[in-house]
This record gives sequence, C-alpha cells and structure tokens, in this order.
Amino acid sequence: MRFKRGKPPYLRKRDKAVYMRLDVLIALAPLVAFSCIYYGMRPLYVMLHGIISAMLFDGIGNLFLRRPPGWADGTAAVTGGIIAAVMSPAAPYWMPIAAAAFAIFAIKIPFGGAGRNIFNPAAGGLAFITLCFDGRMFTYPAPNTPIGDITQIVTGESLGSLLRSGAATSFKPADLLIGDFPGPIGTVAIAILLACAVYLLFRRSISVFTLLPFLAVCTGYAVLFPRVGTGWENSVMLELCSGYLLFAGIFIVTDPVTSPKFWLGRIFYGAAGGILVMLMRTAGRFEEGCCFAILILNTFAPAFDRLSWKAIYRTRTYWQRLKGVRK
Amino acid sequence: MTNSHQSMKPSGIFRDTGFTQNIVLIQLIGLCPIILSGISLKYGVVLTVCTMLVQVNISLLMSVLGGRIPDWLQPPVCAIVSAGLLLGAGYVIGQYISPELYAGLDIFVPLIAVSTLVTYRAGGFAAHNHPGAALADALGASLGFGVVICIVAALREIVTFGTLWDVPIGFEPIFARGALPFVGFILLAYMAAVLQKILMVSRMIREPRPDSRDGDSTNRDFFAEIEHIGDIENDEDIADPDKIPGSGDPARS
Amino acid sequence: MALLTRKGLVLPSRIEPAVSQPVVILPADTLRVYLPLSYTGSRARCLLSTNEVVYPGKQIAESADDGQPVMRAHVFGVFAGLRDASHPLYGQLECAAIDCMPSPVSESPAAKNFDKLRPADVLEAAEAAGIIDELDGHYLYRKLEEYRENYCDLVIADGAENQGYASSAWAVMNESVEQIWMGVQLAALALRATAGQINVRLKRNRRRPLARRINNEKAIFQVRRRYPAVKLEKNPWGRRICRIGVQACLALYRAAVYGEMHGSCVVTVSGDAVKSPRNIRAPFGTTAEKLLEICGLKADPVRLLSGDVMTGRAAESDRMLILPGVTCLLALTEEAVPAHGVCCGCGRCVGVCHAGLLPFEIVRRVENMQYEQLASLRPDTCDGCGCCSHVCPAGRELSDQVSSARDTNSRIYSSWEEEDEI
Repeated sequence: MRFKRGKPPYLRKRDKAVYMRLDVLIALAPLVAFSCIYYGMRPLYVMLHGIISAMLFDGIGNLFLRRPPGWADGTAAVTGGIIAAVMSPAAPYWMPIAAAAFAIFAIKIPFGGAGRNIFNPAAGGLAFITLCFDGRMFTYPAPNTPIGDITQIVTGESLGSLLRSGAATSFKPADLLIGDFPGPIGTVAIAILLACAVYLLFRRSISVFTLLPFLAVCTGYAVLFPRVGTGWENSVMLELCSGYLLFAGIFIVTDPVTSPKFWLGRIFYGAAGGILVMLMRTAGRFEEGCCFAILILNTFAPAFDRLSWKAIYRTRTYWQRLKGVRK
Repeated sequence: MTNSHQSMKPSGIFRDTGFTQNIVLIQLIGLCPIILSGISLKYGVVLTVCTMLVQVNISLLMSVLGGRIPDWLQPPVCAIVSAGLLLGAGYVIGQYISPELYAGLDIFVPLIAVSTLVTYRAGGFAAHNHPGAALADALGASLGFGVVICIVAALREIVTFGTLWDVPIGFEPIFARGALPFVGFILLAYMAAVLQKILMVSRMIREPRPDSRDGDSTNRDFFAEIEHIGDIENDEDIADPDKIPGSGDPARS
Repeated sequence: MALLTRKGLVLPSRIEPAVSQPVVILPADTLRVYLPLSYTGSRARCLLSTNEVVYPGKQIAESADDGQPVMRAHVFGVFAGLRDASHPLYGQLECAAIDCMPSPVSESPAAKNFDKLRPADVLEAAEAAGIIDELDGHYLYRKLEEYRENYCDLVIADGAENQGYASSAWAVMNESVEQIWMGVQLAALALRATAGQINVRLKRNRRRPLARRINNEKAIFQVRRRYPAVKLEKNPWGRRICRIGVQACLALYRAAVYGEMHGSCVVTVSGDAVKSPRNIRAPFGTTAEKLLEICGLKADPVRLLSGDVMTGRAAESDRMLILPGVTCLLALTEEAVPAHGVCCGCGRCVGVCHAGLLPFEIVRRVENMQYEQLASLRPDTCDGCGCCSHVCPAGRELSDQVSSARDTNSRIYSSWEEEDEI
C-alpha cells in the first residue's frame, strides 16, 4: 500500500480566510438596513452597485495578474461594501462604481492583488472621490426623507460640517445613538456600529489591539483640543459620532491585510491612526479626511510590526538569559 | 554616471533613449513638468519645444567643451547657458505667441534650466561622447519626453476641460479635477506598464526565450571547469561544502 | 496579558479507546523482522551469511567508520538476506531480514543488585544493549556521556503526550512505572544528577496510581495541557535538564539489572482508518503492515504517520519498519486542507507561536527571496511544533517554510547576491 506524503502538521484547524470577510459583510448588513428605514430603498441599491462593481473589476484585474478570479476571496466585496457604506444616501450610482474602479485598478491590482496590497483599497477609493467630487460626496439628505430623485432632496447639515464651522452645540446622546442626523449610509447608526464592533471582535475578524487605542487617542484628542464650546463630553461625543471616524476605526483601520500583525505593532498603529485622523479633520481641507490619514498610516504598518517585535523579542531574550532559562 | 547603450551608433542611441529606455517612463527622469503642468496639449508642445531647444544646445556644448571643464563646474555652466536660452524662448512665447500661454506655464519654462532631464544627459552622457552621439541622445531624450508629455496632456485636457488644443471636441468634461497631480502619476504609471509590456513582447518575438538547452550548456561548462582543475590529490576539494552550493552536512547523525 | 496572548494550542484528545485497552504483546516467534545494519547512516558491512542462525546479542554488522556502536541482533532466528528500506525518521537504511524462530529455553543471567550498580556499569549496559532514545534518535550511552561531561542537574523521563492520539507512554508506565522510575534513578546515577522526575500529561485518575506505585508524589510531574509543552534547556529554577524517553528508561533498567537487549517498544496504532486502535508491544524491525493487520482497517488510509499528528512524519508505504523512535503509528483518512496561498493578515500565527516569532514575515521573505534580514527574524529558534500552520485560516505551509529557513541557516540562496547580475 502506498501513501501520500504531504507536509506536517497533519491536523489543521477547520477555518477559512473568507470567513473573516463574510463577517464584515454580515456586519454591514444591519447598517444598510437601518439606513433604508430613514431613506427608502436607495442605500441598498448604492451598496449593491458598490459591491457588484468592485467584484467585477477585481475579476478583470486578476486576469492581468494571471490569478484566479478571486470572488471566493471576498476581499473585493468587502472593498465595495465599505466604499458604498461611506457614500451619502443621495450619491449618484456612478460614484461608488468610480470609487471601486479606482480602488481596484489603482490601489489593489498594481501592488499584487488580494492579500498583497500595501494600501487599503477602500481608503484609496474614498480618497479619490473626496478629492474629485467633494461637493456631491458631502451633501447629505435630511433624515426621514425618502429619496426619489436625487436632484431634489432636502439637504441637512452633517455633524462634520457643523464641527468644522464651529457652530456645533450639543446633541442628545439618544439622537446620536439611533442615527437621527444627516450622514453617510453606514456611519450614523452609532449603536449598531458598536454592536458590529463587538461582533467582529468576538469573531476575531478585527483586532482589539488596533481598535481600542484608535478610539482612545481620538477621544483624548477631542478632550484636549475641542472644536465645541460646551464642554469636553459634548466634544468627545460629537467627534466620535461625526463623519465616518467610528466606521473607519472598526472597518478600515483594522483591515487585517494592511495593518500590522504583532500586538504591540497594532497598538502603535491604532494610536498613530487616531492622531492622523484627528489632524486631518482639524487641519485638513475637507470635513472628513479620514481616508487620507489611513493611506499615510498604511505605509507605517511594516515598520511598526518590525520595530515593536524586535523590542519585545530582545527584552524577552535578555530576561530569559538573566533568569538562566535560555543559554 | 554613464549609461551603457546597446550600440554606439547614433540611431541606436536615439532609439535607446527615446524608446527602449525611455527617459521618462523607464528612467523616471523629468517627471515634474509632466505631472504639474502637463494638463493641456498646448502646454505640452511648448514644453517639448523648449526642452528640445535647451537639450540639443547644451548637449552639443558639453560634448565639445565637457572634457575641458572640471566636473564641479559643469552644472553651473549648463544652468547659466540654458537660463539664457530660456529667457529668449520665454520672451518669444510671451510677446509673439500668446501671453496667456506663458502665464499659464508660469515657472515651468524657466525650470527647464535646472531640470534633471537636461543636466542628467548633459553631464552624464554628452560630456564623454562625440557630438554626433550627443546630438542623437539629446534628440532621443527630448522627443521621448515630448511624446509622453503630449499624450498625458492630451488625455488630461480631454477629460478635464473637454477640449483638445483649446478646441472643444464635444466631449463633456466629466472629471473636473483632472488637473490634480495624482492623475498624472497614475497615467504615467499605466503608460510605463504598457511600455514595459510592449518591450517584453517585442523582445520575446525577436529572441525566443532560451529553454533548458541553455541551462544544460551552462552546467556542462561548470563541470568542465571542475575537471580542468587538474589532478586532484584528495577528494576533499570537491567534497568541501563551501565549494559546491547546496550540499549539506553529510555526517549529521 | 498572558490570558489574551496565551501561546500554544489545545488539541482534541483522541486517546480513547487505545488507552483503556491492555497492551497487545506481539511475540517475535513467527515474524520476519528487518534489522538495520547502521542507524547513523555510516557504511556497514553485514557479517552474516545466508541461513546463519542469529541469537540475541550476536553482532550482525561491522561498521566501516571508527567509533560507531556495534549492531547486535535482539531476536532468535535465521538470516534471510539484505533489503533496502527507507524510513521517515532514519532515511535510507540497509537492513538484514531475519526469519524469527521460537527461542530455545536458556537460563537468563542472574539479576544484578540494583544498589550496587556504579555509573560505569550503567553506561556499559546501555552500550551493550544498544539502547536508542526514542525522543531524538541518539544512542543513549552517547547521550549520557555527553551530559555527564557537561554537568547535568535533573533527569526527566518524558512521557508527556499532549498531541492527541498517542498513548504509548501511558501504556508503558501503566505496565511498569516502578522499573521506569528505577531507570531514571540509574540515569541520574550515571549523570551525577541530583534529581529525577517523570513528565506526564494525564488525568488525575491515571496519574495518582502511578505516584502511589512509586511512593513518590513529586516524581510525577504534570506538564501543561496546551501543545507544545515547551522544552527548555534549563527549567525556570536554573537546573540543567537531560530528557530521556520513558521507553528508553525502562530499557536502561532492564539492561543494567537483567542484561536484556533493547528489543521492543510499545507503539500506539490509531487513526480514523483503524478499526480498533490499540497499544502494541512489537519487536524492532517489524513492519507496520503487521501492526495494522492486528488492529484492522475500517477505511482506506490516505496517510501513514510515524509519530503523532503534529510532529509525525509521513511514511511512503506500509512496509515501514518499527524502529526505536516510532511510538505512534497513525493511519489517517482525511485530507489535509489545501493551501489557499496568500496571507490574510489575521495574526493568528503570531499569537500562537510559543517561541515568539513572526511566522508570516519569515515565510513572506522566504517566498520573495529577500534573505538579507531573514536571520534577524530568528528562524533558528523555531522548534518545528507546527502550531502556526495549524491555525492559519489560509492553510499555508508556514511551519515547513520556517523550518527550511532554520535548516539552511537563513542562507538559502545568498550566494546569488555575489553572482547574479540582473
């Protein structure tokens, strides 16, 4: 009887990489559903446009890379989903498609495709749209107005622009939690976002070491440099709930492929991300410059990983040598 | 600082700098004007003409005088001469062709004086070669640059303004921010990729890839060399693991 | 922090039903066994002629190199010829095939007095009996000599099996833990060590009786549940450790006191494809085919492993020999998960590595052939436990690549740096 060889270990965990991406899509679903309650069916169509076009472009791009289409990979669907979730509910349908095209063809494919990209494609797509179509990107309809024709919508003033112009006062926490204010599709329902974060953390699809320092640094910055005159609690609440900061912290900054893998590297990455995002908001040109901050941050991921691992490894080795456990 | 060219004939040098090792797309020299001011075909053509003017003259000059001027003096001489040439060119454009054009280009015409495109080829190549070669190199570099900037500028003009050479061509400008630098970078990147693909394909057509026969012949040469070492008194020379890569420690128990 | 980043894996325990059944003793009477002429890969010449009678203790091979141990037979039988075999642990071996016969009744030598044994006696007995330690495949007498020179504090008989299937160490201890404990004391005597212990990974209902039998609670040491139980040169209290397998300790005792040859070992035969998994005591040189026959197969096995699931090595055919070092034979049906290829960045390999390495980064550099800084990632501290490959959701061969980086000293093709000119 002959047998196969193969490589050890011969027992593997029954787990697939695609489950992480599926978890993200599952987490996006209630956000879109909630937005549909306020705005009608349009957010769902925007999301579908984003996801399907991203997957299509990814398939075409993988032909250039001579790799299999990769729809079973799930990364393109996640990119499309994240891009669409940051669009305004009144965004024209070509905007998520254009963003997905830029994300896939200029950020993902040239660097090697899924798993090899240095920059977050969703952040790249959002940066493209923010730079080129910032007017249309940042016009948000007032909540509870179903959207028919997008040229005739009642616009509302988003929290980000209020903070920027200094005219923000206080909001009731209940209003903020249920998302009763103008904003992008997937980022206003704060309570649901927090539930999604908890779900993703427990499924080990995102890392607590990246998320918590990010939120902590943003909170600290909001306390130290408030843009609101009515106390630090209001400042923290408004800064964390405005724009897509919380959404970016949960879905974009913690993207596994582009963030470091070592726990200490992740902590530094989250903290640096928090500082960059808040700086882009307060000193940047647009009301929400999260995507640019994330693109800058992505370049530091390998450096954080390597340096922090070196530090920990050397300390541990010296300590073990001191105790006599290692020769 | 010298580049190795495939052949030293002027036509070979021209093809080399202009196409096979295109000065912009493969050697990545002179990107700044393309990205920042290659937004309209008119600008592109004007910059090309100015670059060619400066490049040809400076290359001929350096080819004649380069040997006699010490190395540290070459860049300032190039800069002063090209600044003089560009002053004249700028005056011509501003007065006789179109003042708006000159204003639109604002710093990029004088910038050619210190552009890497000029100094790299002048000091690197022209100073060490005879005038014929220097002329071919200068023409290749400036025409290579010119083709690239005109293509990029034409594309950006069509997309941003809907015109080509300031003539509306009935194309709705869909992308009002096409004049931003990142569009230039990405266009250049894709053009470089396309050029690489064209070069690869043409190389494969001309010289079919060597198959394993070549590999065998190299191995045969390697072993022939070993045999030529002569009478080997002890086997340790061959069996020394440092001499033959890949052999591990045989006596590992 | 330790709770969040606890290293190692909890593997499912599949020791039933083999662990509760008594050990099957395979007599050597009617078997054909194949004895290797040399375990260490040195050239050896067979001293037997066809149909020559072989008895326990007879030298069967003469080694061409100096200083190699003498190979002796441990069975009674007739020499039938030479055969080449390949073994997952020892590589290519040349073996002498011996058809065994029931041994004639002979008086066994008188048992020596345990208390009067001296260290030199112990070492001599280990050499004469040809004991090979099943943990690392070294000759025991050489190992004892080396540790004796380099000062050793603590002798551990390693019977801790926390990988899932193997229970042969437990079977041996269940049979004769007193003899194993005496073997540990003999090894401690030979090494001038001050303490000894037996490492186990057992539930209390199995552990307590062992401790009671040797009248020493502290001697039975329970290792941690998680795989791998970390192996360190010194334990945290700074004592230099020598680890020996439990079966080797048992063989040492029997060799020193009774003068018996190290002739058989207990093997756990288990796996999805085996009908009734058992522990079998088989003489060395038996083919795996025979053991599988005893236990029966209920499905077509895809793989045969010598060793447990995580660190076992695959055998090519079922004519693999049972030699010292094989303590577990697994016939598995299920296929391993195929590699999906690209790292998805989850960081689970980093979280599970007990040596504190970055497996994903090492493998990335090996695959992209960036060898300059590879050594600073310390792949040389990897001990090949396989945890990183186990947890990778993309099914990548991390452990294999890190081991190859370690084995080639991170210098896989670094000579290319001088020669290539692309």
